Amino acid sequence: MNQPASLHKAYTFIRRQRMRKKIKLYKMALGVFIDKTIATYLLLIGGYTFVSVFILGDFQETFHDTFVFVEQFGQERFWLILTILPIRYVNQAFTKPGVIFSSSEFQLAMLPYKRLKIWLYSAVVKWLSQLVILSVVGAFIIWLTTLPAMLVLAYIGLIMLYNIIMTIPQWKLYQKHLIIKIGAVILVGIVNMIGVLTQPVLVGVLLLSVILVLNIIWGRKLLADVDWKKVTEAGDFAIWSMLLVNRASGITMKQDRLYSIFEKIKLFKEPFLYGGRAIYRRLWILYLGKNYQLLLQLLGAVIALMFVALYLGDVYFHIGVAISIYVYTQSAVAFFTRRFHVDIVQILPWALNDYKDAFKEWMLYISIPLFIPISAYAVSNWSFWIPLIFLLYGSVFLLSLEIVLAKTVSLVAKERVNHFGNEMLLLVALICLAVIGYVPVVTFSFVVFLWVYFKKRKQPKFA
Amino acid sequence: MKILEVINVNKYIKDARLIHNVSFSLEAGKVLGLVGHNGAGKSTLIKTIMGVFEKTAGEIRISGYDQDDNLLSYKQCLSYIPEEPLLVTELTVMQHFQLYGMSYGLSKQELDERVERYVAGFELGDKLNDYPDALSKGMRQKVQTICALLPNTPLLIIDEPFMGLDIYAMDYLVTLIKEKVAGGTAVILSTHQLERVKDIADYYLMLQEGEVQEEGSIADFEVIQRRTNV
Repeated sequence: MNQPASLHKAYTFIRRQRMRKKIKLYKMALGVFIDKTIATYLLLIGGYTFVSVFILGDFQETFHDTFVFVEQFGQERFWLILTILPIRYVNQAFTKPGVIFSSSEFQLAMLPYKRLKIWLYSAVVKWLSQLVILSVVGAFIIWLTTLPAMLVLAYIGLIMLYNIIMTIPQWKLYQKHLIIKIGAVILVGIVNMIGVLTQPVLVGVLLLSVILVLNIIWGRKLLADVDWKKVTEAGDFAIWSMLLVNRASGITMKQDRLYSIFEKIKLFKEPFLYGGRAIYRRLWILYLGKNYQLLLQLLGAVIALMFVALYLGDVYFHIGVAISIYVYTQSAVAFFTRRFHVDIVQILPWALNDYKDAFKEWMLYISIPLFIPISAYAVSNWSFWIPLIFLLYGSVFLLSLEIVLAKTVSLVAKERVNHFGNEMLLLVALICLAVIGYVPVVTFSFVVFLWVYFKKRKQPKFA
Repeated sequence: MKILEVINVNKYIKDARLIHNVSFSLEAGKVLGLVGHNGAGKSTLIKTIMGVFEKTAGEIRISGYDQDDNLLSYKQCLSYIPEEPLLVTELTVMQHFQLYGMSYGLSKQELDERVERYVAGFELGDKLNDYPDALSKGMRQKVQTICALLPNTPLLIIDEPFMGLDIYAMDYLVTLIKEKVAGGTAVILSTHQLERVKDIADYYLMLQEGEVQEEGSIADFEVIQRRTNV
């Protein structure tokens, strides 16, 4: 009779071979960008910068006040982290199952090894690597700053705890329908809002308890109803999509997507109202729908950013909103530009203004969830300024979207238009928004930005 | 009257030379057969003319519109039938025709008249509300072909024109191409089916490793040289 097979040996063999191959690929990719001379210079410059800033310089003294501030905030808002942290995992569940189960792990399960055990190995390896990274980062923070070691360790412990207890919920959520995932994001957003407005400790502990219960319930059926094709694709993508290698080879890995909602709804089979904007709206919803993971990640990241800003204090919230508007509109530009380089649209003439107006409508609809943190801010800081602040947020957002898209339209059309004035205007608008926490009267600048926005809307467009 | 002018066009990806110093022009109402072995650069040249690939150097003009200076008007002047259909899975056949009609600025009446005629000719009358996934490969190619024939552009580019079409559809397409040419449209046909090209084309241009190897009247065209001496 054959000896029972050792999963440990087989699994570590696969991981070792994978690591070797990745190192080989990284070496090849590095060879494209960096030769030995450049590498030596980079090492010297890096070493010199580190030594001069952190060791020879009075780094700790220079940033003493900042460290005191961070320490104070870190202690005061420690429990808010309990509700903020899960956003990350719920957001990731749109694209990542949380545990890497690639086609190699799947093939391994065809051999006499239990799939559940392989899953556990992958999870443990992930936790260990996260622990190592957090420990290294934590050690540097303790070494280089004046932050108390206990506070740093407490945060590391909390993050690590969530890394572990959110593994199963993320894995199961990844398998669920899109609507459930969106529902989960909204739910966690609402819980955060309640946390900010009421008792963060109580809400945080309650959420933690719910997560633990979910672990027990879902842990029993961990591998039930798993879409293995999707999981292994995501695993392969996570392992082999290496930024440096992609850059060097010029080949970008993409995850396969299936999108068939429109095929099932009869209404969508009807011809369009000819000459209207409906056809462009449809093209955009199809395109954005195919990229929904990226969109949801963008929304998740921006909402998290705003909650973190809210956590830091109301003055910082406006800075957070200004950064969020910038990030959102720049991401919109990336989506817009890419549209003209895929499928049938790339070979057609483009009615760019119709494409732009239809796209802007969708980007406005998609931004609706950003009202969750904004509402939390409004409720917790209600005053007569709030409606005016909302008007400023809205006007800067609309103006930003209009300016960046107008510039993109002229770039796509290869029109030589000078956008310097508009870019400066955009910068001024964002700065105005960012400083209203310090200079509230700047809030009234919304009148100017709204006026400019409507004036720009009336300007002549491309044919 | 020159419809298409390709002047010293180069296309490089890093050090790899895909198209090198290609120049030619095409008059209104003339057909150019673009021939060459696999990998000769035919598709790259077509995509560069289309603007899908950015050229590294050179100039391309259609009806006087420069690709670099007036891209939107330039794109209005050409339509394209790709080798493989580029249809959107979630748009029906009729919605594709509408997309083309609107993109090329056809009136509703023009669109309806042309759709009616071409759909009957390619026998797709009962497929207008179907999605591409419900169609056979040949039918998808017919849909793509009709899309490109809907506008009357100065330049029509066809990559492997008869790929996937049945014998009746091929004959019908040849009739339509001849009709377009008679109306003043310049046509580029990129194909391996040389016998078909010989019947329609006025000139040929042979590419090899991204360079023009031969060009001239189709009457002078004999055979593509073998890529190797074997």
